[in-house]
Order: sequence, then structure tokens, then C-alpha cells
Amino acid sequence: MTDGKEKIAGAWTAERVAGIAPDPATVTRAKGLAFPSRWIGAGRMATLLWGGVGGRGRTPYQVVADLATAEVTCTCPSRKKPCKHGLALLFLYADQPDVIRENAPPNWVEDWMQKRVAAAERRAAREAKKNEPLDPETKAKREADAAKRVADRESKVAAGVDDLALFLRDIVRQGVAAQAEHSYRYWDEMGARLVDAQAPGLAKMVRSLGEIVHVGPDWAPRFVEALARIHLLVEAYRRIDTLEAEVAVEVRSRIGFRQSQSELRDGPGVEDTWWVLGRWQREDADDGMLTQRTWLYGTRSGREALLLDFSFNGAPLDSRFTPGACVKCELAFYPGSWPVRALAKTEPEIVTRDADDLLEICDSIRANVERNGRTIARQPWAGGFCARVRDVVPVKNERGWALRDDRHEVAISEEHEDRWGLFGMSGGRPIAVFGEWQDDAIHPWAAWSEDDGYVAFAKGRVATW
Amino acid sequence: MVTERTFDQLVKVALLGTERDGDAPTNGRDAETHLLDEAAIAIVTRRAGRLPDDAEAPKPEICAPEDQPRIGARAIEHGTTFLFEPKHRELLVEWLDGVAAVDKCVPPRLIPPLLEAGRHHPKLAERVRCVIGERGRWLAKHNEAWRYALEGAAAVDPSGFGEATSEERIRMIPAWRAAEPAAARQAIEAAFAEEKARARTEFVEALHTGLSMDDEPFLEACLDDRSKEVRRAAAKLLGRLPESRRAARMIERARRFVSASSEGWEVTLPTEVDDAMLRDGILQSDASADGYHWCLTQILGATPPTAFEAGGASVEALVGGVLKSVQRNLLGPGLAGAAQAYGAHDWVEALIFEKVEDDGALWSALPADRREALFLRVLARATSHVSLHRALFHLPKVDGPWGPEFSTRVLHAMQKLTSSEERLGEFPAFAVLRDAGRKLSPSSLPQVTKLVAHTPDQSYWKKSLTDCLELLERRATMVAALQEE
Repeated sequence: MTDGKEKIAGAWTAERVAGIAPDPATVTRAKGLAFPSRWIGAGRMATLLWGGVGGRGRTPYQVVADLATAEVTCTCPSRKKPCKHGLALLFLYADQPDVIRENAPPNWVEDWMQKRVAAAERRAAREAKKNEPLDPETKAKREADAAKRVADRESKVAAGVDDLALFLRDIVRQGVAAQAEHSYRYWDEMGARLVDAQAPGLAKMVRSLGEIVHVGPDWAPRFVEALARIHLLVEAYRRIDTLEAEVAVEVRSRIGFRQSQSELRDGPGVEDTWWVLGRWQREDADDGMLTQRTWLYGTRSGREALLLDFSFNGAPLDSRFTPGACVKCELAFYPGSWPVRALAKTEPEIVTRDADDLLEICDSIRANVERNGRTIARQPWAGGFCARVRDVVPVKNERGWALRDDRHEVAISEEHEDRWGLFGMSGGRPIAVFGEWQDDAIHPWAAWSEDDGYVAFAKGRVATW
Repeated sequence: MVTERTFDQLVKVALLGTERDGDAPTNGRDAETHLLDEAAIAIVTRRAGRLPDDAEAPKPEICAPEDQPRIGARAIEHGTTFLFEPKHRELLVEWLDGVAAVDKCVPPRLIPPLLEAGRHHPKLAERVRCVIGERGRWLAKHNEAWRYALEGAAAVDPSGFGEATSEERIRMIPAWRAAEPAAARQAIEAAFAEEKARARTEFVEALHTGLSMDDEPFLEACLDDRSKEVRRAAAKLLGRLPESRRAARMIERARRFVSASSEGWEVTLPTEVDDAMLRDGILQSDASADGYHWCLTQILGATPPTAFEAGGASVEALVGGVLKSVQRNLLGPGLAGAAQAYGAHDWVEALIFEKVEDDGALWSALPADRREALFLRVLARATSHVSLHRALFHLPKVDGPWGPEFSTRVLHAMQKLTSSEERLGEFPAFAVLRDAGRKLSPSSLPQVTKLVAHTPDQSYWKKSLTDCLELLERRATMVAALQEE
């Protein structure tokens, strides 16, 4: 690594600790435990922190945290990972590092370290076994089965796509205006048929048609646009054999053929030091699924990467990629003509870098828009692009809030709640904004200003009184 | 393939349906597919070729550089916790005072939530104003709801008051009154006749801020207002001005019915309520059967207690005389109310010390140093375990933050109590100690740590003391962090 500023285990600030928390409630509870009087035998050695918490008659819970890998374990029965005790130890360390002295680890920490080594060895052994050659007969049978499954699915999807093509043609023949009489269920049923045809991507697109019909004043052009997008995908699939390999993969993934994550992890990766530009969590109102999107930028490769993470029923999301941090890690990219979606192949390791360097990877509003345009030309279904603009000033005009640089102006998405926060950070001076493009608007997830440095926004993070 | 129709034209055709659009060229495909082909090409071309809008909105003027230093990283974390996590909010006031005490300001990130806090809680507004720096004033200029944070006349723009609606005027008055008391009152006087009763009441109540004898003539005139609410509001404010004509009339009345003496106060009850009393805000009661007790209580509550200081007896001796009077239950509440409203501190102190009245509001009427001194006197008087216990019971009534000396003495008394095996039934140890944790001087941390260490685990006090220590530790960390760069 050429960059002399990097070193293992970057500074742990309270903000960074909060970044790895499973939810805000756990942060609040953890802060209530982050006092020296709560802890028994807290100590540290190199990047390891440990301590006992609880007391008051009970056996204390034992917490170990590795500052380098952000690995936190605790003996409490909580499902939350990391739990409030683990976070509390890190908060205590962030707030009053001197309270936790360098010390020799007690026995239970030694045990933990040994177990960790043993687990790593077992994992390595499992990997090795997986790569052992199979006997020819089993191998042939497995391959034949797999080929049959693939062929079955292809023919199902092809039938579903034909069905959908007819459906689209009927809409256009009868007229879009006439579609208003269909209830929600009409679109849902077509969606269900496509799910049966094993084309979940198409199913989702069709269902969303039902959300556009008669919603808002200019629903008709938006509806026709959505139809045209589906049509484009249908046509692309029908002539998939004539497409370039990358585009074909993209089309298949849009339709709903899923890439196996383990296969992807076994393939080649991109090793780099990545800036975590920002992250956003959104809850689906219907099914309560939480989606987390994280944009990264490779400092050497110059590649953008999008990490997606999903959670149901409050299961913890991946919190290893803290916004504003710089992480060393190997990523595996999903193939396609706009290959940004990625998975972590190796454990991310946080390195210290001056956040001011973030500015170097930002450019003007115009350059961002042009980059998006080039991507659309290659991959017409692409959307939700990474936004990284610099030298912009938040402004308020009759239409609402916007970001402007010396030449251009772009609206700030309605979804961004903390407009005054952004405005205040700027004080009329240029700042940098990170986030995502939502059609023609930018949804700021984080911003950088000379006064505040890097600041991440989050949904609901607005003080209420 | 050539796209001949624009996207808008395509939408028009699609809306009605291709059934009704027979003669469009179809490029060898059926009409529906052809339309979708064209639409697909149109949207991709449009999206891919889109350019950003030219900048139109003017840039805001640039904020002046900060001349105060900003608080350090650890202090920022603390402030963020207090603002965004309501559970930890109890320390926000002390934190704001701490920031102001080191003469620093907060970083821009924390300003909008602070301005919101001050907008909803008048008690925070002044503190917020002290810590937001240039950036905060810059922000306040851009948001009408935050104008209160601007200093002095800048906080209000009274030019529009004459043409404003009642609602707007009611909203403008408090900030204007705080900035320019005399000008605001004159504007109220000028507008008074044309306003409805509700607005007039709000106007009079707004004079509470910055109240002085300059307001007396106007308030006196308000006693003749046609609205009962306005009259009551005016009487209440006049009840804070010992030099007012209303106070003089009350003194005159009180002397007619009450004669103060250290040997026991003499009381005769009024026999009627005359029109002059009603004008001064004495409220009629149906309970005339009890011999006009209620009337005399109200008169006493509106009479500056200093009026009874005559004949050389000390205030304490006079209060002692109240206890000797058969009418002590009537005199006590009346005197306490008046002492509090008129700010007669000697009387407040004497009434508390002599145990005539001792509610929390009375304690709060004293300035911090006198409050602490008084409590120490109460504490010094407690010789037995039981009386010490009773004295400490009142500790939460002493507002914080407490000075170092006071904290030490209180903890010393607490130690006597906690080291005893004697368990006292009703003592609300948890509430008293939690409250103490919020108010004790951070300098007393070692003393509390020692107290906790010396208290056995099974003691009734242990949990409460630990909580107290925790809170104090948190405050000490907070104060220390404010010193850092």
C-alpha cells in the first residue's frame, strides 16, 4: 500500500460505534451502560478489548471486542449482534479510552482467542473439502440434474415472457386510459402468473404498474414509460442469443435469474481500499422488509460498488461498512453490463484516512449526470446511481430544495428529511454530497463540509420535541 | 428503425388505444408492438441524453466566519446523544450551560436540532442563543421559526405590526418584548382597543417578560378592561410589582384586618367584598359562610409582606408570631404566595425555616446562594437521625447545579444517614439520590465514589447511590470534554 496515512484499526469514535449497532434502541441502551462504574475488569491488549458488565448480584456478562475487525461477542442471551453490552464497551472506549488499561488478558479472553483460531481452522478445512474432486459418476449425475433444472426453467420463463408480451399488447390496443378500471388485483394476478413462470423480476415490474395507474396528475406518461421498460426487457429476452454476453447476463438478472452468492464468492474478486460513501436503509411498508444500500468507491480501481442487504423481523443488517470509513477488502461483483452490485469476499478491515480525500472522488453535477447517461445507454434499465458531487451549495427556491454548483442545479429528493441540517452544514459555502440519484433528484445520504467533516444522515434522525 | 413520433404523441395514442389509431406506420410489426418499440427507444434516448438544469436559484449569502472556538469531538458526541435520544435528554440544559461557560459554540451539524429545541422550550431558547455562533444566527435569518435566536432587535421585525392580523401579532409580541420591552408595550397599548379579548389577554400576559414599574400605568388601566380575563391577567402581573398602586391599596386593606406581631398576629375577618376589591382582582367566592377567610387569604397573597415589617421585630420573629396566631392556617399560605410573587426573599427564607410553608415553588423563589445557605441552616439544625432524615427529604427542592461547598456538606449528611443500620420507612432514597446525581458538583465525584465503596451490597442505599454515582460520572465526563479542543 502506497498510502502512508493508512493504519490498522482506525480511531473508534462514538459515531463509528453507533454505525455498527443493529438499531437505534440498542445504541440508547448501550450508552446507559458506558460508564466505568458498570464495568468489572475491563482491559485491552493490542486490538482486543474486554470486560465484565452487569454485576448487581448476577454473574457479569463477559464481552470481548476486536477493534481491528469490529468483531464483538458477549455471553448474554440477546439476539442482537452486537448486543448492548458489546456496544457499551466500545462506547466506553471511545469516550474514555484511558479508563481501559493495557493488561494481560484473563483466562476467559484467552479461551475466546483460542476458540476463534479453532473456528477459523475449521472453516478453512471445510473450504478445502468443498474443493476436493468428486468421483466421476456422482459428478456426471449432478451435472445432468443441474442441466435439466436449467432447461426446465428456461422454457417456463420463455412461456411467461410470451404471456406478458400479449398482456402488454392488449393494454396498448384497449388504451391506457381504460386501465384505470382494473383493481389492484388485476396487476397482482399477472404478477402471480409471472412468479409461477419463475420470472420474479418481471413480476415485480408488472405489479408496480398497478401503483402508477391513476396516481398523481401525470400518471399516463409514467405508465407508458413503465410499459416501455417492460417491453424492452421482453424483447431483449426473446433475442438473448444475439446479445453480448454481459448484456445477456444483465437481462437474465433483471428477469429474475439469480446468481448464486457462494459461486460469486468463489470467483475472482477486486482487492482495493474502498471509501464507504454512504448507506441508506428503507423499510417496505407492505412486508416490513428492511433494505440497506451501501455505495463504495475503490480508491485504486476507481470502481463504484453497491452492497445490498436485506432483513426481516428486525434481524441485524450488515454493519461492517461504516459510512465515511475507508475499508480494505476484496469484493466480488455480480456480472452484467453495469457491474456495480457486489459482495464482500473477505472480512473488511477499517483503515484510517483523512476524510478530506473524499473530495477527490467527487465531481460536478454535470459530470454525474453524464456518467448516469452513459450507463443508461449501455444498460437501459439501470437506475439508482451513485451520487458524488462536490462544490455544491444547498439552496431553496419556489420548487423546493436543490443543490447547485456554479453551472447547474439538481433537486434534493423529498425523501431527505434533514434539509436544514444540510443547509446549516454549508453556511452558503460549497460542500460535497454523497447519496443516490432518484430519477432527476439527488437523495443525500451523507455530506462533507470543511466545518463538520463527513456527516451521515439517517432516516428518522431528526430531533423531536 | 426511425422514430417518427415524439414520446408525448406516443402517450396520446397509447391513452386511447391503437384500436382507434388505424393508419400509423408499423414497420412490419403489429401496431401495438410498434408503439411499444418506439416508446422504449424514446425513453432510453431521453434518459441517456438528459442534461442537468441550468443553475437558477441564487446562492445564499456566505455566513461570516466563526469567532468563537467550536467544541471538541467528544463534546459533540455528548451533545448529539442529548439531542437525538430523548432518554438522555435530562443533561441537555447543563451541557448547554457548560458550552456557554467555556465560551465555545457548537458545530453546524447540531444547530438545527438545537434551534428546534429552543423553539419548543422557552427555557432552552436563551441557552441555545448563547451557543449557536455565527452559523446559528445565519440559519435563524433563513427560517422564520428560528428568528427568536437572533439577538435584540434583529429577532423581531416589528415594522409590520400595525398591519398584522391578531394571530400574527400574538406570535410577534414575546420576542419583541424580550428585545425591546418599552417599544413592545407601546405597540400593545396602541393596538389594544381594536383587539378582541383573547388577543388582549395574550398581550398582557406577554408583559411578564421584562416586567417593570414602567408597565404599571398600563396595567392599572387594564383593571378597568371590559374582559374578565384581561383584568385577571393584569392583576396577576401587578401582584409582582411591590411599588404599584394596587399593592399600596392591598397594604392599606391588609392593615385594616391584620396586625403583625412577634407575639402572635391579630386577625379580624372582612365582612363584605366591596367594588374596589373586585376591581383589584379579588375573586368572589360562594363560600361566604366561612366568614370571608377566602377574601383575606387573597388580600394577604397580594400584599407585599415587607409592609408588615414595623416596630423593630425581625422578619423571623414576625414569622414566629404567625405560628403563635390562631389563624396561622390562613396567614401561612397568603404570606407565602405574596413573598414568592413579590420576591421578598427574607420572608421566603423565614417561612421555610420556621416550617410555616415549604413547597418546592417557594424554595425556587430564592437565588441559588441563598437557597443553599438556607438548606445548610436546616441541615445544621438536624441533630437526631430522624430530623436529619426529614431535612434531606427536602433536598430535591433545592434547585441545581449545586456549588462544591454545598455538595460536600450535603454528602457529609448523606453519609451519616447511609452508614446507619436504621432503616427509615418512607424515605424516597431513589428519588432523592437520583436528583442529587443531577445537581451535585462534579468536584464531589471522589466523595461519592468513596460513599458507594463503603456501602455494603445488601444495603437499602446501594442501588440508589450507584445510580447517583453513574449520573455524576456522566456529568463529570461531559464537563471535562467541554475543555478539550
